[in-house]
Amino acid sequence: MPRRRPRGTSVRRMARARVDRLWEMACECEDPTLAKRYISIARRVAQKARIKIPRDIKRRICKKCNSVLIPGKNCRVRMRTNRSSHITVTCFTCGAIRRYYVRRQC
Amino acid sequence: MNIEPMSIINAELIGLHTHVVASSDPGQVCNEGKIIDETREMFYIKQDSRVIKVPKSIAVFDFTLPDGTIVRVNGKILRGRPEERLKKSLRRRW
Repeated sequence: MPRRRPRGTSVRRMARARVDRLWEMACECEDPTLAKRYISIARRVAQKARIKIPRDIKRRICKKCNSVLIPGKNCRVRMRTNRSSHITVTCFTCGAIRRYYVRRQC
Repeated sequence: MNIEPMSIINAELIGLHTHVVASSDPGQVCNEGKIIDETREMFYIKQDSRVIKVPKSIAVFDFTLPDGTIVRVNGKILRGRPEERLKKSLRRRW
């Protein structure tokens, strides 16, 4: 009897490849609505397969409107220290603000 | 990304080049182009400057995979939203 492979590994491998491919296409795509559509499909694929979207990709998409964020073009990135120090990213398409807290390493 | 011919039902079809081989609607046969969007029942295929919509379940498609192989697939097995096809498996009876 062949050894049983852990369930869902092939599904996750395929899902990771699909997320990467969709991200590439969203970056190359000139039409912003189509790019949003690709990102939303990528996020649903990741959700269905229970994988995490890599952090470098995750921080470059808007959580609210799924658009690809390009600093200086459709988002504003500022370092702020009025609370604990954090980075704010404002999306110009929908106006959503995301804060990433920065912990200083000692 | 390398797609194996057998796993095409789980693969990402957006971005692939496709050719409609057969369809119950004669006007759709021989259309070819790049898939730009996919819904549960439809493929949105981009031809030069226009976008045509082809229903999956009534057509047979030829997909050109990234490594150049061409796979002929009955559109019936491709039914389902892109994220739902992820866990679909082909049931074959010999």
